[in-house]
Amino acid sequence: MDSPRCREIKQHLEICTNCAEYLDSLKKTILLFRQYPDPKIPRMFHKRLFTALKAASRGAKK
Amino acid sequence: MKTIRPVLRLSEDTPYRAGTLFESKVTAGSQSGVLPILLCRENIFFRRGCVKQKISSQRELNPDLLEKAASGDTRAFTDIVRRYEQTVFSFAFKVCRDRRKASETLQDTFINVYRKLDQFDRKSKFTTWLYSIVTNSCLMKHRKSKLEEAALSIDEIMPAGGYGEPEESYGGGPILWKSSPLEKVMNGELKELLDRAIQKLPLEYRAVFILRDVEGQSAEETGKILKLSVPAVKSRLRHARVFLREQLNEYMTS
Repeated sequence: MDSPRCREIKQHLEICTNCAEYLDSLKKTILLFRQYPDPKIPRMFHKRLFTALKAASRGAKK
Repeated sequence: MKTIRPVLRLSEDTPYRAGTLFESKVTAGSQSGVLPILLCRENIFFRRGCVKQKISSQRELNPDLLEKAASGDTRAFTDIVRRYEQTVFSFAFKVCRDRRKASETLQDTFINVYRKLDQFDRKSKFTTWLYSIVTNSCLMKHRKSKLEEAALSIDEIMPAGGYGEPEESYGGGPILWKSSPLEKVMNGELKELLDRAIQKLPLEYRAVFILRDVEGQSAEETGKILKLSVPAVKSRLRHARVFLREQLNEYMTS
């Protein structure tokens, strides 16, 4: 982050409102997707998974 | 009676495990006391810059557990499944944006892990291997689906002429996003908007965006998972970010 190129970009962002605001909106885009709540695994899916794994295990033993 | 919803601020190196019981000092007016807090997903706020802890940052599996599971120990394998099923489901949902497909992916992933665990070479992290299985399963499902026929290429969805200066690429509309996402309530409308936006993004770009920006994988790990070079990961990530930003622009500036 301290490369000459990065320093150049940082300096530009200090004087260019357009680019600074654009960068800010990109950061906010990422934050919004990070804040999207994780869906909890429904109990039915959990049961289905273990049923499928049991079947796979039985199939492998045959 | 006022309900207090404690929010824990964790630094990157705070040991995190759902189910951990913390004791937090709480002050309300002139009164103070100690409030026990059971750590779960909902009450964790990660410091800005810290990515939510996902598969990647969970402690790596104990090699003994892996060995046992690979040699057919059902209990050891069940431990592995229980440890990762929620995170695999969440990740699959974020990629597929469909609960049914996420459930199918969850099953496919662990059946593949069960069948191929003895082939896991231990040279890469178990989590990298697991991510690659989930991602491949999502990609294969997507390719099979009819949606693929209607999917647009990145060239079709991106502004003509690629990316120049910001004022060129966003088409002259307002840049300033007045509302901070942290203040915006993650309501149904916003969730739908995020779902719609990411579903328009080709899956190859979507996977990179989610792995890098949401799951917090490094460019190198993402490259290993998707079998891409680091420059290709960076290029796809840049395209994906700009595309998603464009999709949200109207909502965030209105």
